[in-house]
Amino acid sequence: MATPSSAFREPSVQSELPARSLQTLLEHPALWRAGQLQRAPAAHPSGFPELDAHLPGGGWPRAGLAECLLDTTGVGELRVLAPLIRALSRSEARWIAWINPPFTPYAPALAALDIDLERMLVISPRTHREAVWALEQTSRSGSCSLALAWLDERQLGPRDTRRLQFAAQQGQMLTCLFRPAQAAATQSMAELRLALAPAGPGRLRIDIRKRRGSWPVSGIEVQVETPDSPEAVYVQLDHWRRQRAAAVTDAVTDAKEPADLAPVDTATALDASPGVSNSPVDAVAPVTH
Amino acid sequence: MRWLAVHCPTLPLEVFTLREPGGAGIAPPAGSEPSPALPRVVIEDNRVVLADPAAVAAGIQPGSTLATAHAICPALRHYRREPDQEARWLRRLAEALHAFSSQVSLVPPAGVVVEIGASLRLFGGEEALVAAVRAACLALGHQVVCRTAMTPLAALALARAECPEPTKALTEALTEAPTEALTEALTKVPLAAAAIESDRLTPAIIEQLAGMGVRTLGQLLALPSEGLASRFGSDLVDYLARLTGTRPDPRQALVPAPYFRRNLHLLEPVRSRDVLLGLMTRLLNALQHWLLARNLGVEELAWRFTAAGRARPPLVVGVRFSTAQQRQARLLEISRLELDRTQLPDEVIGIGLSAERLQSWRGDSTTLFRWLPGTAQPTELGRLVDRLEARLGRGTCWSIRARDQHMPEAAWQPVAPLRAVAPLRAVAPLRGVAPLRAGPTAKPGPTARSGPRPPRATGPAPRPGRRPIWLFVPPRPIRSSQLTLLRGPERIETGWWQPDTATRTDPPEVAQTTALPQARWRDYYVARLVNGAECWVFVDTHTRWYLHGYFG
Repeated sequence: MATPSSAFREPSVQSELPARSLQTLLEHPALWRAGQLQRAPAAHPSGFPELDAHLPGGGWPRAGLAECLLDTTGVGELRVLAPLIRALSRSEARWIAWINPPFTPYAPALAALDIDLERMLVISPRTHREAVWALEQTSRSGSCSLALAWLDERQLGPRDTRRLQFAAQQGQMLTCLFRPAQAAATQSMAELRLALAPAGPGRLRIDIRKRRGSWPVSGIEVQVETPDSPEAVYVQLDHWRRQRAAAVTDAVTDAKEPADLAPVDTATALDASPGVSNSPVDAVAPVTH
Repeated sequence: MRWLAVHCPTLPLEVFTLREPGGAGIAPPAGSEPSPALPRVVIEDNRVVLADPAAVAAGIQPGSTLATAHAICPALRHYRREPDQEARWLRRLAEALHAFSSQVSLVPPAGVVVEIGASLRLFGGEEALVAAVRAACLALGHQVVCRTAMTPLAALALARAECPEPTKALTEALTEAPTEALTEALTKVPLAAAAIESDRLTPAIIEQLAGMGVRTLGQLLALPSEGLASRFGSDLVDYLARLTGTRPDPRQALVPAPYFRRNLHLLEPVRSRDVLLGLMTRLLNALQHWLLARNLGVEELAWRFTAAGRARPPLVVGVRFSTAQQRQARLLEISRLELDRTQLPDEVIGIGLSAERLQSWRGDSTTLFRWLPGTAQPTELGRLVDRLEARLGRGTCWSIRARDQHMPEAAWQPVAPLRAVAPLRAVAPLRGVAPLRAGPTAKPGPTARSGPRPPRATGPAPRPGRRPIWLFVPPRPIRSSQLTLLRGPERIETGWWQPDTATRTDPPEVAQTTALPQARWRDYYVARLVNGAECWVFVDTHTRWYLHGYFG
């Protein structure tokens, strides 16, 4: 991995520019110099050591705009952020904003991840302009620690990302923008761009497309979930089948109470074609008594 | 005891200018030149009682007739004096002064006395307090003269000596008073200026005293009181005793109104939004003073805009705050955002403001380490929500809560942000509202409902079901050929204890086709879609498959 070389020094400034205007230019928050990279930027650990090793400062940036590029929802894009969300919701008395989420953030799942639900603020604007306005407001206010945003890709330009990056810096907040994978081709002012793709059961492949201070890197794999094996389904259905057998015995001895046989029929249907895909489940007839 | 007298010499004129768009008290829009002031006078009985500086500069004297004034200055604007309006505005001014003391009393027609002895320390001394009072009055659009003394009457006399009372009888008396005597010392206060309570120090008495060569309070106080009592009655002696403090002078304290409702009827319709905002600022200023006086915060307020020329009900614009507010700047900021979304009448002739919902004020507390990131206060969190809701509309900002319900759709609910205790309403009795660690109670298998029979499970204990971060509302039908099952099944049954309500939780098409109330269940699986996404699917009683969420 390319790391910023210590030989890379700031050139001494030889310019006709008045010193004051140069100073104002250097104070611009969107401008950074290579020399500043010696000092690691403030970061939150992501909870995944494989990922932290490649992120500048060893984690998610504390302030700024990060982009997650993904083709489909459900690859684990929020599970990879979950340790960060949990840490921020527990440690900071600020909002975690969900701006224009594509579906409903499901409270029991977030609670099961030990995330403090009191900090969640879901904002559902009606138009793209309102969404960008809301995101800028949450950024500038300084009362948000993290914003997760889904914006209209067709109306989002490099100028918007520049404004969002600027606002996030101003409010000391991390904005995480979720965009489709083809947005990687467009220009963006985000300081971190990650492409996410599924990589096997419970695994997520992360390609860093842009980061501060060094080159892109690809092929990082993180385990976002303990993997499930399809066998588990059959173990469970087998368990149900044995219960059915017991229930049938009971039904013979005690005819008053009819046993509920419904799950066993799903189980039998899956059993009918073991090993292969589970497609024949459609063919199961409803159970009536 | 230390008394502050606030005297409002130009009140008769201010009650008109304050109702004029662009009048006194409204800052002109930045960058524009203040328009040349038109000379204005207030008349009573066809005589000028008060002239503004422009009119005085033109040569109009108080006491001249209206015809004379118009002859001097043809562009003159005149108003007929409205004593009941003056009383109303004076009362508003007095209520605003509650921010400085609890002991505020009215002294009609144009004075207010405030006991400030108990407030000196809080405001950092007399000078600072008087400056704050003067600034507060100016913000409300009133020019005032403030003087302090040991008794209310002395303070009033000093304040009024600065600006002579502009009533007809006294302007005549004043002309005889020596002008060089107008200094701050009480002894040099002319009697005419001291004549506040007309039943005590009447113009007749003042004239009589002037005939004796007594023109100032100092001269009057030097006279023996017995002689004064026999010549002018005991009232005059009583007045002098209260003036000097040898006799107590109790004042009735003004009680602030229990509600806040102000209407500003303008003399001319307003077309510009900026002017409207200026007027609104002033109303909010009054509201802030009222809230401070009653130690309240406002959670909801309502603006009423009356359109000119039409007998239609006023346009009501409600403004809500997630936490109670007291400061005018906050109230204005959110009101302004709310106005951006509202189509106002073209010409507004009346503005009303009322505080709809009030709450006792808890006060602002700040953190010691404000500069540290992540230490926002609840009020700051609420400020963001207020701003977003004012612009995006009600109900666009919400927070989420988990509920102890085992139907996945019912296991969460949206709540208003910053509500500490979510209002929970459930069909089934709740065991608690604590956030769930492992999702809602799922029925592990058929044994859970097999009544008194002991469970005979011998297989592996079912793991608590995984729940997806994204939920679909409602579930979407899906073809099972697109799925690879990874984990499950997890059976969730519902409604078998209630014959009819079960249909509510099913997708509509299921609800229509299902006739049997019993045996309503879903088998949930974690599955992988063909594109690699992990999702949460279920198969229902009719073996139809539904996508219910994504593991984001």
